[in-house]
Amino acid sequence: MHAIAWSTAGPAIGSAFVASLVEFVEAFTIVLAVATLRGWRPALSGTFAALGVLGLLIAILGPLIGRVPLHLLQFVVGVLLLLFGMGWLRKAILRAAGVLPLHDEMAAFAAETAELTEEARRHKTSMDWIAGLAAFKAVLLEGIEVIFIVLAVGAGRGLLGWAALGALAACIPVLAVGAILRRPLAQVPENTLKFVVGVMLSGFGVFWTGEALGIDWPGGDLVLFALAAIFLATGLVMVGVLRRPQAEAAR
Amino acid sequence: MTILRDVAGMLFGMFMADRALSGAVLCLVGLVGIAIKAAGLHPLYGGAALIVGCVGIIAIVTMNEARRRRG
Repeated sequence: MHAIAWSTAGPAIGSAFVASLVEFVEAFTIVLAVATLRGWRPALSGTFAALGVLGLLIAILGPLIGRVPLHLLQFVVGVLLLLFGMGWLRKAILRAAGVLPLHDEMAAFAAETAELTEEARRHKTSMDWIAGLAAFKAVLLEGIEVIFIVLAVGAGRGLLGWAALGALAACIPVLAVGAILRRPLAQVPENTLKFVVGVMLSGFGVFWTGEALGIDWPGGDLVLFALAAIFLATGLVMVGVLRRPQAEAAR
Repeated sequence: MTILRDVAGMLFGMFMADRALSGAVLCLVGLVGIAIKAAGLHPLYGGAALIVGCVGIIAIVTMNEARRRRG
């Protein structure tokens, strides 16, 4: 990784860090449910098997990315970021406004535990196998999202290594706090993080899509901050607008 | 096979969770692309249209969803 301008790398590292934090917390909840029910052996087996598959995916996708023409890569990544980022922002706005219920890690933990017990009863198979498979699936699915985010925010400017570093850095606090507490990380302000990620990824999406369409953004990479500010303001205004009818109805 | 189906479902959900939002974003990008590449619109105006369009889409889809859920 060569010397970089922090105005360029900062948003990529920050987005990868925050988005990965959310995904790691969700995966951790399932792995913890498996470990609580059946012990750490199936939980860690499933986790490491999924990490192996994710490593294989990176090994295959990594070299391929370098062969795609930059403009095409920016366009595809830009549009996918718009779809993904605006999707997260939409959900975060609706949750913050009380239209959708907030994601509850304790409820997710309880649901996963109940589902595992029911699966084992129904299929009469080894509980360890089912538990390991649940951990495998959780880590694989959340991990794929992390890989996409790292590729999306890093590929357009050759910042894959830095974005990956941001994602890896997010893993450390989740594992450290999780290891100490040994319970779902319910105190993490997940919706606020999703709001921030939605804002940042939507900004990246507009930026990359525009570059691919030939837009020479005034201010270069710094326009990313302006784009993020626009999406943040939009999100906050919409939360206020959508909360109002509820407040009026309560009166 | 269940895992493959789950992965495919998750990937679809990542980008197409709200079909109205995804459809509107794809239409907006297509229209801005055509306006710049085929109709000769100045790219900066195209950029402005992209930003305004995305802001409008977020506002409309969240309001529609709130109205639908609250009846």
